[in-house]
This record gives sequence, C-alpha cells and structure tokens, in this order.
Amino acid sequence: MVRILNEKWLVYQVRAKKDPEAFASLYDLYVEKIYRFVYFKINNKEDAEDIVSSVFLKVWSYLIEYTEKEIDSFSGLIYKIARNLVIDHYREKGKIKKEDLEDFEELPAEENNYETVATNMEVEQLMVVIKKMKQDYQEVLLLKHVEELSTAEIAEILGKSQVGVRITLHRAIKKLQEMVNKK
Amino acid sequence: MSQELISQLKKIRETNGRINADQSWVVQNKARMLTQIKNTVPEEPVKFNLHMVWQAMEVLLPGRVVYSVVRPMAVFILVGGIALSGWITSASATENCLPGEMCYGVKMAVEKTQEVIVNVTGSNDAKTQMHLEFASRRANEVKQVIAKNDSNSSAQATETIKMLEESLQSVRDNFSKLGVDKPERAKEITKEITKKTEEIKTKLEDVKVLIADNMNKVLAEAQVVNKEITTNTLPVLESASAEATADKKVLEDKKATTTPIVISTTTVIVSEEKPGLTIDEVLAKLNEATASSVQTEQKISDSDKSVKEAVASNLASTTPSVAVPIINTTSTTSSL
Repeated sequence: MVRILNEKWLVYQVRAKKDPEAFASLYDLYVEKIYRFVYFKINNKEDAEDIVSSVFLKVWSYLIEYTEKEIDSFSGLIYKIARNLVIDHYREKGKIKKEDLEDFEELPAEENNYETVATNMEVEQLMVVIKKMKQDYQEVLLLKHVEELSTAEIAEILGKSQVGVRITLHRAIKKLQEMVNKK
Repeated sequence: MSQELISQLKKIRETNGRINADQSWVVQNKARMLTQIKNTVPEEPVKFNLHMVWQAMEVLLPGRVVYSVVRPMAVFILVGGIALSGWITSASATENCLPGEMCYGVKMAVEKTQEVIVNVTGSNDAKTQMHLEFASRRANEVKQVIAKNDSNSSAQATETIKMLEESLQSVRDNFSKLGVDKPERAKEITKEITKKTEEIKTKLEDVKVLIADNMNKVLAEAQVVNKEITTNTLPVLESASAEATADKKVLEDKKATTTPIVISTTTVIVSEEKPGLTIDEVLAKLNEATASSVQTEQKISDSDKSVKEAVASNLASTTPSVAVPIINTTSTTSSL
C-alpha cells in the first residue's frame, strides 16, 4: 500500500511539477523490472538496453504531454509502452533467430557454490522452455511470477479482463508443466 | 508440481547473468536520461492550475472515481455553497427587519420557504411549533413598529396583527390535528405552546401601553402648540397686520405728492444741471442761449469791421503808389 502511494505521489510530482528527480525515483523502481521484461522477449543485451532507455524517455514524454489523461496505474503504463516497443523491435528486426532461444551463456567461473550453479542451470533451462511457449503465456508467467505483479495490473498491461488473465495464467502453468515433464 | 515451477520462476530474478541488467549500465543510463529530460523542463516554475488538485486526489483515489464522482460533486457543492451562503447571509441579516423595510420581503420569503418545506416533510408537531414561532415574531414586530411611532406605524401594525392572527389560527389547527394523531405528543408540547402564547400576550400588552403613551404624547404636543399660538403667534400676526396697514397708507400718501420726472432730449441742460425741469423751462433756456450767441456774433463782426478800416487807412498813408484790395469779411461773419 505504501509502495503504491509512494509511486502515485511520484507520478503526481512528475505530471504537475515536471520534476526530474521524481522521475529519477520512478526509474530506480522500474528499471530492473522493465529490463528483465524486455530482455526475456528479445534475448539481446544491447538491444534490451536501447529499448529500456527508449521506454523511459517515452514514459516521461507521455506524463508531461498528456497531463489531463487518467493514469490508473503507472506500472500498467510503463509495461504497455515496453511491450509496444518490443513489438516495434520485432517488426524492424524480423523473426527471432532460433539459435537465440537455445543458446545460453556459460556460467561464470567464480561460482563455487554448486547448489547455486545447479539452480542457475535449472532456471536457465526453464527460461529456454518458456521461450518456446506462446507470447501470451510467456508474458503472464513473467509478469505474475517473476515480476510479481497483481492480476489487475497484468490485465491492464495486456488489455484483458482479470478473469481472462487468471485463465491464461492457469493454462500457461499447465503448458509449462507439460513441456518441462517432456524434457 | 506447479508450485515447484512457480518457485523456480521466482528465482529467475535472483539469477546472475543476462536476465538482470548490468548495474554500471543502469547508473550511466540514468545520468544520460536525466540530462535529456532536464533539457525539456522549462526554467520558470510551473504555475498552479485547478487540474493539479484532481491529480493530487488521484494519489489517494482511483482516477475514475476522481473524475467521475469527486470532481462533479465538488462542482455541485461549490455552486450550491455559493448559492446557499448568499441565501443564509440574507436570511440571517433579515432577522431584525420590520414591516415597511426593504429586507422585510426577504424575511417573508424565507418564512414561506420554511413553511413549504415543513408542510412537505414535517409532522403536525413541527408545523405547530413553526407557526408558533412565526406568531411570536409577528408580535415582536408589532411592538417595534408601534415604538417607532412614525407616519406609517399604524398601517404596518394593523397588517402585522392580521398576520399574527393567521399564525395563531394555524397553530390551533395543527395542534388539534396533533391531538387527534398523537395525543401524547400534544400533551407534551402544550406547556411549550402555553409559554409562547403568554410571551405573545405580554408583547401585545406592551403594545397597548405604547399606543396609550403615543396618544398622550400627541395630546400633550397639541396643547403646547395651542398655547404657543395663543400667546405668541397671534399677537405677532396682529402687529404685522397693523404695520402692513400703516405702510399701505404711507405708500398711498407718497403717491399723491410725488412730481413726475420729465425725460428730455436736451442732455446737457436737463439731465446734469437741472433735473425735474419742465419742457417749457427747457425751451426758455435754449432761447436765452441762442440770444446771447447772436449778441456775441454781432460784437465780433463789429470789431472786425473796425480792424479792417484801420488796416486800410494805414496802408493808404504809407504806400500811396500801391493799391491793396480790401477784403470784405462782413458776409463771412454774418453767416456764422
């Protein structure tokens, strides 16, 4: 609740007073989440960094220009913009190469904790499996279980009803389970 | 099984590697972004506007609620408040208004409005109490109007007493209805009604005293005026009349003795030297002036003649060879 109020206050400061410092605070709250979201979709560090930069600049422009438009949720707004930019990126770059989906980096040599290494491998493999799923399923899984957004926020980002989001999430988990078991 | 998957999904955030952003990049990107943003911010501070109020409310309430409910309600309350504050100000200001004053109309309008509302929403109990209050106010007004004691007092007092009677009649009607509907409540408010009616009675007694006082005052003043007329005014009038008569006589006498003033055309003699001369006298004067001027002319011509003769003889004795023509001045003189 406090987090939500704080976020709303920062958004008010940006819209009403064009405060760059308030926007910098919003950046700190969301940069990691938006990077993960974008990277998960496009699987390229440099492109993800470019897209994330563009996301924040677009959000700033939106907040300053459309001061009279209602904003129910800032997270809904920023994820929507990020999603649209990823779609634009897909259009520019063409289809995602299949190699990108299966390729994963070697684990860093400094990792001596075998349990962590094993966990990381499991997570990486899980990510590979997820990327083979439908876009809708990928998005709900990422937003719900990785970014831990609420069903209402996910509904706003994806332009669906909350009931629809719950159904999609249930199906995504079920599909992921099937694919993991097969593997 | 799905719980395991979910817990593994949650671990994705903690995984080192490409899924999470590089911290150095995060910091650099923030600085770059702030530089770009600050270029778009105007130097002068943003002025306050009403929309900021709604935006501030969005911090606590959902945007939909703010714009669909709170904002229309605020506008309604503001408009209603302005209208009501004007009504309240005028209503409270009219409490002490009396019949004949400009604000009395507003006072009556406020009471009428109150009556309508109570008739629609109130019980017989409320109606009884309201009309009792009105009756008390009318009695008060009558007392104040009589105390003022100006030219319109009696007419205004009569009108107000009529309204007082109407209010008391309404009290009786509503009380009897209350007695039928709610006899217990009727018993309860009987004391209240008795107290109020006693107050009204006291006020009307005061009115009677005031009227008597006023009448005595008027009578006393009339007596004073009568005395004044008898002792002072009448003698003055009589002496004034006598003086007027005497003056009239004097004027008449003067008229008889006054000689008419003759206005003559001869300015020098008549207007400056001898005012009041008759025409005959003026003519006589003119004749004298004419005669003396003729004599003067004769003397001039005689002396002229003798000078000429002297000159002529002188010339003849000194220059015998030269003939000088003699200038004849007599005709010239006589023509003057």
